[in-house]
Amino acid sequence: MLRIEPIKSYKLPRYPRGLYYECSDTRSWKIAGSIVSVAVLALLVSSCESGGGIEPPTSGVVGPPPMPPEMVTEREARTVINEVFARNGIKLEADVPFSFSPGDQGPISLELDGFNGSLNVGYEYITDEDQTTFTPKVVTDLDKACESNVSGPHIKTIGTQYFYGDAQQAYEDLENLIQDFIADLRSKGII
Amino acid sequence: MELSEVKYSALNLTHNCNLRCSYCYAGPKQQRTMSLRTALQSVDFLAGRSKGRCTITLFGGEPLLEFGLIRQLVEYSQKTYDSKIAFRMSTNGTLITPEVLQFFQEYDIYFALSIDGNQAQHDLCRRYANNRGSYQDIGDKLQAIFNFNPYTIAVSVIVPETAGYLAAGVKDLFNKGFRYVLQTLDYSAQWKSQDITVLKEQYKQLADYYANSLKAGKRIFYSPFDERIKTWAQKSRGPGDICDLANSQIAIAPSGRIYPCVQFIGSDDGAWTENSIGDVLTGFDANKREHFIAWNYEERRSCVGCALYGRCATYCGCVNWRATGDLCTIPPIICEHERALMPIVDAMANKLWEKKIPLFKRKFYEKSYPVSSYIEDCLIKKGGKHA
Repeated sequence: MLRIEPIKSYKLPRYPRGLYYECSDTRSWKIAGSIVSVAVLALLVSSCESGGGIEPPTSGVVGPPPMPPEMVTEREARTVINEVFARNGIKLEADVPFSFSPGDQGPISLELDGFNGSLNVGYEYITDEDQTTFTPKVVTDLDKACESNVSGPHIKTIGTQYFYGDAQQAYEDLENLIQDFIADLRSKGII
Repeated sequence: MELSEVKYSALNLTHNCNLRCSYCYAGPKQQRTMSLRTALQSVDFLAGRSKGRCTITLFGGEPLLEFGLIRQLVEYSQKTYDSKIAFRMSTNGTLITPEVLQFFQEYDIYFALSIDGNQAQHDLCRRYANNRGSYQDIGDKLQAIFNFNPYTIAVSVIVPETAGYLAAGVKDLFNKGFRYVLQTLDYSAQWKSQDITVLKEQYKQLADYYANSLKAGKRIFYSPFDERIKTWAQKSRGPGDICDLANSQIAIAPSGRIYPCVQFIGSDDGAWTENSIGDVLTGFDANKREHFIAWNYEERRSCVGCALYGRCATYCGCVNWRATGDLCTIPPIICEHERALMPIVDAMANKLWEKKIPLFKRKFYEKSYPVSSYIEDCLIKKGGKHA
């Protein structure tokens, strides 16, 4: 029986979103792109007129070159996140061993980037290095465990944040993410 | 409500077709054809309602059954409006001749070819009235079609009976020389859970094929993958993005009645005419047009809170309407299909990104890719190499 079932938890793709694409259309890229395009067109026209072919580039040479986005590093993310927690009166310890038990199996041991044992509150900023421990299943199970138990744990998992050019905006996004998390805990009377 | 100018219109030249495809959503096949007068009035109507360029897609039935009408229509349009009107066509390909291709070449008319995949897959659904499969008749013309336009688009429809052929069929299309494959499910068919399992397996096979193709620098476009990657890498979808029925896109029936989309034309008589939003002679019925637009822009309530909202096909109001009778009520098959397909596509794209495959980065993150890719193609052709 087919059914409509909204997905509540979906592991966000690791290939970057939006920024990179939009920024490739900035003025400087437009100008650079135009120059390269005109040059290539001129080359093409001259090639056609002379009747001779030229060896084509295999990839990545024509048009604005692709620029990879930058990422908020683990160190930067921790600084931003810890600062938000501190501003809200929550002191966190770094690299804290942590375990929890999903319903369908035995306990899973992890290490959290930040954790407050007395409040049972913490976070993990997931980068490539964490991919083997914080697998999509583990993250889903952890989220479920957090949702199902009022007394905790209350762990916020955050995927790697990418940005193009303006790191400040990425830091602010990260700050807002954590501030919302803390506000949610407050509204539920957890902290 | 601010109405958009008309940018795209399907011109349904005839209700007749030489094929009897099992999943066809057009109405009964009958000898009702657009008159030359209505055709010319339609062009005038569209030219008057678009500030910039308007693209007319010749549609049917099979539009090439009316090639004489197409000639007169296009020549009139060129003479009167020059390049303001661009023509495209959707065809089953069986009636393509050198004469047709020569005319299309002269007037820059490109077409999308309905071909489902390999012969077994295609002939299961796309048959003549005498029940003979149509694949061979198209296959014989493919070389001439690619000579005319190497970027000719293949349009493929999958039904439950052909789900198991999906991967082989798509590979066959690319191997035959197509570089663009637009594929959709027949959402109004009777799909079952086991069909989704089959589709998943097929998509996984295709994901490997697609990834290897990109790694090898082969520039292919496969809509189930490309469109979904774009919704993450570039821009998520909202109302009007993939379906702007009755607004910037409309359809005109052989009678001259205007409909929100070709899927609403049906037999263009009786109850079907209730979907009409005007006539090329009298213009739009503003109330009905606005009603359809507002209806299509309504939130898809069953999708609220879904992590894939903005990435899936739920915003095609025409598809929803065909399957459920409501523009905003999605059929379960759309949801099941997206839930099966999206993780496969994202897992593949993650790997391509992490392995820094140049073509992946260019395709999805370089805005000038279509132009730069085309220029490279020209250079490659000139240099005597194949892409």
